[in-house]
Amino acid sequence: MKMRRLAVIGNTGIYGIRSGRFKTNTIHVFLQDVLSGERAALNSLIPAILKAGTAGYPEMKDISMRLEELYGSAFSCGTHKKGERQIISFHIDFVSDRFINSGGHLFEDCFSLLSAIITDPFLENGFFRPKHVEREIENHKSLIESRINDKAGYAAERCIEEMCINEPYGIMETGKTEDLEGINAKSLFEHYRKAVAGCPADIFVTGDISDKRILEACRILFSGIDRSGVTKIPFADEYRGKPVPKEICEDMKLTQGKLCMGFRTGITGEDSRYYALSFCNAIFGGGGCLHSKLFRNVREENSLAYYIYSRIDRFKGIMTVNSGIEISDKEKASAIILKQLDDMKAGNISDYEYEATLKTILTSLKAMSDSPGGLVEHWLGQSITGTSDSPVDAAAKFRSVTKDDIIEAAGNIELDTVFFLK
Amino acid sequence: MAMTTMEYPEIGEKLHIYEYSNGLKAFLIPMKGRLKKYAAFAVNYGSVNNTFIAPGDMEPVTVPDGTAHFLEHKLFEQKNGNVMDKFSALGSSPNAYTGFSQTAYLFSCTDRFRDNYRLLTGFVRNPYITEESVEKEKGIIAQEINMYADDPDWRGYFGFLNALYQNNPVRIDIAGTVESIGKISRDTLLKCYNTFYIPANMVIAAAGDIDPDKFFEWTGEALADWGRSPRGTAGGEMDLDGGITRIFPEEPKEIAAPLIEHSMSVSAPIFTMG
Repeated sequence: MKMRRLAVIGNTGIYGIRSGRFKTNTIHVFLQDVLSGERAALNSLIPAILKAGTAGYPEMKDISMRLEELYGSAFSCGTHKKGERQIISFHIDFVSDRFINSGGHLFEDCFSLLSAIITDPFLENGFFRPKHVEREIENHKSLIESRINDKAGYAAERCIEEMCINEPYGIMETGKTEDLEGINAKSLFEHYRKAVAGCPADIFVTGDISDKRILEACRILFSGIDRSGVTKIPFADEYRGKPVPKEICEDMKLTQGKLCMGFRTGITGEDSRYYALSFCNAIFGGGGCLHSKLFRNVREENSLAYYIYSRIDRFKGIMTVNSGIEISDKEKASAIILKQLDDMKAGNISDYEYEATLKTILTSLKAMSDSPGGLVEHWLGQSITGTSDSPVDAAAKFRSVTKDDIIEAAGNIELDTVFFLK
Repeated sequence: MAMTTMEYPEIGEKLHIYEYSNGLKAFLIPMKGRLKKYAAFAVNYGSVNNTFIAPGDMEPVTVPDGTAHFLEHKLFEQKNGNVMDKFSALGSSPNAYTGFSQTAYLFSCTDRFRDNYRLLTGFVRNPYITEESVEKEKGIIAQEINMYADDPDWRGYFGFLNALYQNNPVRIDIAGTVESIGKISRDTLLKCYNTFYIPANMVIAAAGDIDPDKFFEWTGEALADWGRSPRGTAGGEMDLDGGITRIFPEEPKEIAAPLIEHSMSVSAPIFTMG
């Protein structure tokens, strides 16, 4: 299996991850924009309105029927944020030609459907259909409002919002409900036209499809659109200076308190110290590490939580800790969490912690080659940070991280915001 | 007993099955060329099995709600520490889950499958439960229960089951309640373990680039001598459930309630019907 950037056509990076190992092939198209208060809601509405119908498949049900004809291919789209970028994604999964009698062109058929959804929407009087736009705005409003339903997720988002109140990273990728006011079929269409022409884009194809077929298909995607004006997105500014910790408490009459802590690390993905930071996070509270300091001390030793983990957003250089605890245990849990970080800064990292964490990281990098989605995610990340480390390169870099490097990375981590939902 | 093989040529996969003389069934799906390897060891025992007559007993026993799930947590505890640390040392990730009618222990890894597999079979086969560790676990499980209590979809689903069933234990949350788990002791857990965790009531399965002959050999080495073979019933026939009598309460035809409502902060009402 190998991953290669095949070409850049119309300011669009085209990547092929060639492997005969998978039964399912995939196509991913990502558009990137700067995360901004003005455009977050508009950008989120783009995939929502595009999936509502194309010129050739005017209604959602027509697209669904076409997907069924394509041997039950699956289409999905949406937006998410990576650092201070908003990513608009479109994705289709389809079975490899070797399992069906499709005539050997299921990839081309799926690509042309995906391409139609992105570039050839159903139009009425030159714009999106007002009825559909109104419906999608209503749906989107419900989606934004429903974020309070997932209590742990909501608390984690609120922590980031409060922490980055003056930075683009604090903007919700869905936008706010008030941002939806005043959006209509015309303004959304005009925004969409600008986005498909001006946003940097990446296309990833995984599976047993030749480079030639990929390039031919990709040439069609943006062929009718002038993409000469695409501008590069600058990498997020990293926060400098020592934060003054703040604490916010919000009441929701919960059974369990959701404790979130946001830390500044000063290190992002394009920094050579990133691997040491990532290693440091894994020892401290990494999700896959059952031997992490947080899991062992907060859960196993003190029985304070069922879930506790830390993670980093390498596109922004922020580390967050999330846990569900008894409301009355907030001070006790916070103190134990901060003590673990102090321990790391003081160099209290056992050989077992170092070795087990390294092995856990290496296992997940190795297992990535079995997962087309994982590989695409990895390479999209590399494309954003402007690096080109393969999972094998990343494994080598993790292996070369020393305990001293980890302690040094830990030394940069400073508490910024505590958010408690109860 | 010989290995049987099911072929699925349409998708290019095979499933190998081997049954040991103690009643344990093992399954392997060889996946050539894949780097990830996966195994799961499961018992036909879950949250609904809270009343039963153990083999050899005369009287039924009813255990506190959430016992099967509690046992799942405690099996990871071993004489020389938590077995999770041993998986971690190999760089692999173990996990487990309890459902209404099953409990499963699993891991995924890329390297040293056999060592990981030995850990899995070893800890499920050898419980080491102390009173002290049972007490310690109560705080952790209470937080797991509280986490689900704040989940609107989960609350909706269990509200629905409570409206549908008057007596069937499927209406009770898999993890029990903070109150019910307070009553669980080491003895409760061992009683359930000894009743249900017997080879004839269990299956083990793996998938990945693993040689079938070796896999069934390793499984045999680890588990074929596991004590109790299936007990004969009064008629002398083989009872593959190992002589466990599972008791369920009488369930009236009528539903328990036409509507159950619960108030919590959500953006719009969530409902489940069926």
